[in-house]
Amino acid sequence: MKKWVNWTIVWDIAQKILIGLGKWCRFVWATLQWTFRPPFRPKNFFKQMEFIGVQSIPIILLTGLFTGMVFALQTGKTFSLFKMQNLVGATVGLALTREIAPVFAALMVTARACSAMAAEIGTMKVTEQIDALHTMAIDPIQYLVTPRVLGCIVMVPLLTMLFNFIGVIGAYIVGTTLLNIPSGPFLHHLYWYVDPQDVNGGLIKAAFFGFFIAAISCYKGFATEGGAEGVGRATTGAVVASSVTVLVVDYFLTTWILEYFTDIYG
Amino acid sequence: MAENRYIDILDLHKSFNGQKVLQGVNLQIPKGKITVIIGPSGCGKTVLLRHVIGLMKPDRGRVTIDGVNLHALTRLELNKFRRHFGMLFQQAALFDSMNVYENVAFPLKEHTKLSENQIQKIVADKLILVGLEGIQRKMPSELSGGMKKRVGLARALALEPDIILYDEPTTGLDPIMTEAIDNLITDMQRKLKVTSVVISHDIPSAFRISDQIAMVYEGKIVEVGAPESFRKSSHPAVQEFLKKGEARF
Amino acid sequence: MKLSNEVKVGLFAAAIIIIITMVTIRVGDKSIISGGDYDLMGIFTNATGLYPKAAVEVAGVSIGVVKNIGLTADGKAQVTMGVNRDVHLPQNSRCFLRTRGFLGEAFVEIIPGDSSLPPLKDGEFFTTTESGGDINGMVNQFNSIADDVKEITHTLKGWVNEKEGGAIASTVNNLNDFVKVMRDLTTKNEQNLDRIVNNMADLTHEIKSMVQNSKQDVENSMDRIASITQKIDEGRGTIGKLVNDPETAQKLNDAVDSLNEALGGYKKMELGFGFQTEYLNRSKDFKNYFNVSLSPTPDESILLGLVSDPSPDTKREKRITGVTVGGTTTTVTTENEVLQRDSVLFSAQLAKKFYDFTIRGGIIESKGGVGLDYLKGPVGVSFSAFDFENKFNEKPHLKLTGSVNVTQNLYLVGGADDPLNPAQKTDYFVGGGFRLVDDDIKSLLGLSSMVKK
Ligand SMILES: Nc1ncnc2c1ncn2[C@@H]1O[C@H](COP(=O)(O)OP(=O)(O)OP(=O)(O)O)[C@@H](O)[C@H]1O
Ligand SMILES: [Mg+2]
Repeated sequence: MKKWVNWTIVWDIAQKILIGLGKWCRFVWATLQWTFRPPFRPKNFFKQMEFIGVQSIPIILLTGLFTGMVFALQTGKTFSLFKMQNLVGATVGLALTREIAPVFAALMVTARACSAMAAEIGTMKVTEQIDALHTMAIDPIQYLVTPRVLGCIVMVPLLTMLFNFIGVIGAYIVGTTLLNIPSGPFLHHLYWYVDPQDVNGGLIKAAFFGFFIAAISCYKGFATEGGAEGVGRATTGAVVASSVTVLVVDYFLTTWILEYFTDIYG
Repeated sequence: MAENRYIDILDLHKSFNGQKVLQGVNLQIPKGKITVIIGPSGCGKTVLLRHVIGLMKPDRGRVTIDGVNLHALTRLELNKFRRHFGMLFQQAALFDSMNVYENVAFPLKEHTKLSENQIQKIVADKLILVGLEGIQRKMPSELSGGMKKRVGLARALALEPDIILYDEPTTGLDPIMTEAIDNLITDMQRKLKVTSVVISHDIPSAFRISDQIAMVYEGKIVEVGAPESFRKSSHPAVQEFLKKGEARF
Repeated sequence: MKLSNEVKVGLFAAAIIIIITMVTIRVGDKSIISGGDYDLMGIFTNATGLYPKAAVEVAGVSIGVVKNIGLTADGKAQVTMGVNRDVHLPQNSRCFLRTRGFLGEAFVEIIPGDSSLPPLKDGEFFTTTESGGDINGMVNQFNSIADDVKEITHTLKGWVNEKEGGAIASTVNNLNDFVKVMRDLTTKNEQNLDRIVNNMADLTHEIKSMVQNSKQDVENSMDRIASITQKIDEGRGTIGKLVNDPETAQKLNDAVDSLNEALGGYKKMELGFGFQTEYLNRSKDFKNYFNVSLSPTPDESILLGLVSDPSPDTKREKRITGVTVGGTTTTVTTENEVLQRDSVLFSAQLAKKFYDFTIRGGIIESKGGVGLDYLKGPVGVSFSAFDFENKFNEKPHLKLTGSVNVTQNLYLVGGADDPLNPAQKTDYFVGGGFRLVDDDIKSLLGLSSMVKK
């Protein structure tokens, strides 16, 4: 008789997941420990911030502008059925600050910077550069991972803010030109309905996303085995795992942040 | 601690996915001497060297240095220990995001408070030692295999460590360069009392420079001794190896 | 130029910090309550569709936001509103729940009450609230209208439907019958009709000749009317002048304008009247005051007063009287040097208010003097000093008065008069008075319509 579920395979998969999770947790723990241990390397930190943040500005501007524009167009079309076009600004503003900007900024950084992290660290692993660091009495986690994780934690919120800003500009352009929304009501509703708490909640989420994508991608780089192919696998794995994690973590953070940060007047 | 038991490798076992690589290696490495390790390719010489610097953990056995069990140390203690080590990797393992100067200067910048000028001077000196004057601005990808290896050597020497592990320092070099590197290794040992462990496939040069030769075969040290006594070994694998090795030259 | 990583990161971070600051200012500034707000509560039977942050409006102007919506113990909606500090709503203001448009947002509308009442304070409740109709109510109404319409169309259909013998169908039938009868009649009475037509023709002829005969009279009348209007046009006669002279018209306009201005100015000036009487225990007599106050602004006023001073005592006695009347209206009167029964003194002072204090100065009871009043709630203290002349070795005349407001218009006073005078003992007094301000006067005189324009 054929078994419906092959429990051996299920157990193997579960074990792999659990082992991966356990190793990742140890990795994160080590990263945390090394973060607060001297020597500190501000040069590396700034280099990573430049790479993660400054170099991501163009892609964030581009995606942010078009996201805001498309979003305004779509909500505008629907809202005009109810003669509520004036609320387009507020809708786009709230959606951007709370949800879209943090997630998109994190995904963009994942695609641009975190894949590069996994590939770079993976290559260092397979060409013994990591071992070389070890032999020189330098902890590779401290040297390679800490600046990247910190860089992401700092830069993803900044990029999110940029995304917010440019997205609202995109929505404004579409709203006032294509949808013929008068700019006064558009801005009034935007300012009225969007609260600092919304922006702050989004930025806090972004910081968490930054931590997760960097920690996952660096971990994937460190776990690389076996040459160029292994580097490729690590890179793909890093992007997939980071993106999925962003979306999953977003759900939980949103629930929490809605719970604790959007109480209107504190 | 006895001078001749500076690095003490005791009953070292290591296997990868069921493949037994080291099966009880016992070896004493004396302080301030040059020990050359030979053996057929893939027999586990590099694996042995990695255990000596703590990059790998043995399945069984231990490595003690000056009486300290290397594998019982915490990461921080291990790092303190490693500052006395220099290691040349078989594939050089240069940081490919840095140019030659930055590679060689890296350990100096990380572990000393020297000024940029002093570091520049040291780097230039080390590059002259390995015969690569004035290539500071080149990236590793622009170097040949032999050049990479020599830059790696310059980097291993930069901090002037007490113990230097060389993984095939002369493989892939021309005879003149080989001799220069051999002289460099012996110079270091004579002038600075450096303890050296050299993996080599070059039997003549091994006899030329070594104070002690050891042969790894089938996961064990089958013969170890001063060059003269080593040559007289009765182990058939050693004799075979020596015969083939010296015949090449 | 090559920038270092630090500079690039710094520039980027600075740009974002500027954006965050800008956004925070824009978004954080719920400008209506930016200057601070106070909470007012309203209890509604039903707060459907109302959410936190909904607008609170007076006459379509936002004055605050809904902060919180909770439930009272007896199952009603308790709405907390944050209202701009600068907006004061009288106690009997009413509070309504309204909806903008069909699907629009719910908001709270407040209709301010009687401005003479004290304003609602932080944490107080609106006494009158009304929950607006929700969409369900509207839909129900639509449904019943639709039912009515259906009924009407149903009836109409019944009328039209011939087979069912509907009303319209039978009306049409009746018309048919009627037309048929008419046709029959006409054919039968053809001759009679001919005669009628002939008679009509005769009649019109006669009318025509009548009109022709009196034509001359009509023309004369018309001529006369024409000549009168012509005269007026040319500016002859008084009416003609009035109508035609542009100067006259201009003067009239000016007169109307200045009248408007005068009324406008009067309207702005707050007017107060007061009467006060005091019994002086030493003099054993009454002293009466009549005061008028004019306040062009809430904290400045001109105080005018007449004082009847019985001065029954010795010649050199000074009489001082300070009068403290509620708010800004204060008058003090003074002294009489010679024994002079029932003399009338006058006061004229300028007063300026700082917080609860009023400083005044000018002529007090026909002598130069200054005064200071303090009024907090219903209780007031007033101090006056005047008649600094020292002819008879007298000290300045001082007067200390305390007052308590009994109602808005009635008050009691008591105090000490001329305590420094060496010639006599301090005169203590008690008394009372009443005071009328603007609105009271207007309603009293029935002028409200005129003044309020
Ligand atoms: N990280 C590893 N994972 C799995 N197997 C390994 C690993 N490192 C080494 N091995 C295996 O161990 C054996 C010994 O390898 P090692 O690199 O020590 O050889 P070697 O003696 O240095 O050879 P060569 O002279 O060619 O450098 C090889 O068979 C290799 O397959
Ligand atoms: Mg090797």
